[in-house]
Amino acid sequence: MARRKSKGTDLDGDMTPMIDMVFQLLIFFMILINFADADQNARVKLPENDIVKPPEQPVPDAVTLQIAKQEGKAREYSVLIGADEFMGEKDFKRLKAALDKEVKFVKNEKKKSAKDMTVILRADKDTPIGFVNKVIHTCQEADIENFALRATAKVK
Amino acid sequence: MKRKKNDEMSAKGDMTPMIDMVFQLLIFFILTLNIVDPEGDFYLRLPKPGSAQAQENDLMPKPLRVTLVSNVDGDLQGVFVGDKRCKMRTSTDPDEADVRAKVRAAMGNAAGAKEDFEIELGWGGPGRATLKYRYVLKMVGVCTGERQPDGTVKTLVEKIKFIQ
Repeated sequence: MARRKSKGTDLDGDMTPMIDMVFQLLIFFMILINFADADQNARVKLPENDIVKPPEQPVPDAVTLQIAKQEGKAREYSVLIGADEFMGEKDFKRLKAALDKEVKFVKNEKKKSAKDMTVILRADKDTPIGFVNKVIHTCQEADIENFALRATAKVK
Repeated sequence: MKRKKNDEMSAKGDMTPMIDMVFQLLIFFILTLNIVDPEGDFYLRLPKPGSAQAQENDLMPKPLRVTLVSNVDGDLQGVFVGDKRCKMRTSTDPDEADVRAKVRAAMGNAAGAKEDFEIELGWGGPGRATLKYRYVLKMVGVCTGERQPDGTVKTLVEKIKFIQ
């Protein structure tokens, strides 16, 4: 018992700088953490571009649509709104309904129209343009006409 | 002096659970950290074909057609600005400077204000709709502007749309 106690005080004496460092690290990681990125799908590999800049303020009234490869399939793509997955073109009716719901929400809650809304498109770099175009077309059917095509900012 | 020492001792006695928690938090934040590259947007206005907005746009000077030609695998094979074929650096990599030069030339010939100049991006060739999105986005970037050596972006064309 006596031995343990003396060991304990020894450790305590050495701990202050370590605690300082641990707090520094803790604060560092807390500041770096970005929960907003949690809804970004890891399946989406964005194309790179050297002239895009991160937006200075978040896009107002935005709906984020992600286009990712379907799991286990080579050429099939699906659209994601949050965790909601729309499997390819056969699911576009449901996608339209989901977009209509977003538009209705903006209309009722914010008293704005679909024309004020922006679709942020996070499409995988290998998506066929025909599919992307059909997704854009579905958004246009819901009266949305502003699009933000997202890319990874890479300065050459 | 004696009192201070005493205080210190009592503070140390209480510290173990706190340090445990701090380590837990530290490990949590380290594990949940995911470093993502910064992302940016290209803003395009694509009104529904046939809508009032689209018809209004039809009254504007005719947009410059930029066509991306692809093979069946969806890889880029060539770029046409108007009817002029652009140089390629490799078989799938267009010569950006040449594309911009041709766009600039077309802009110089176009009537109306520079701000109203519009590019219409289309795709053709055996691949057509299979063309990979990255080539389209790259071309959107090339037509939007160019990064200068000092880090600023020099804008070329502000309005870009897709053929639908």
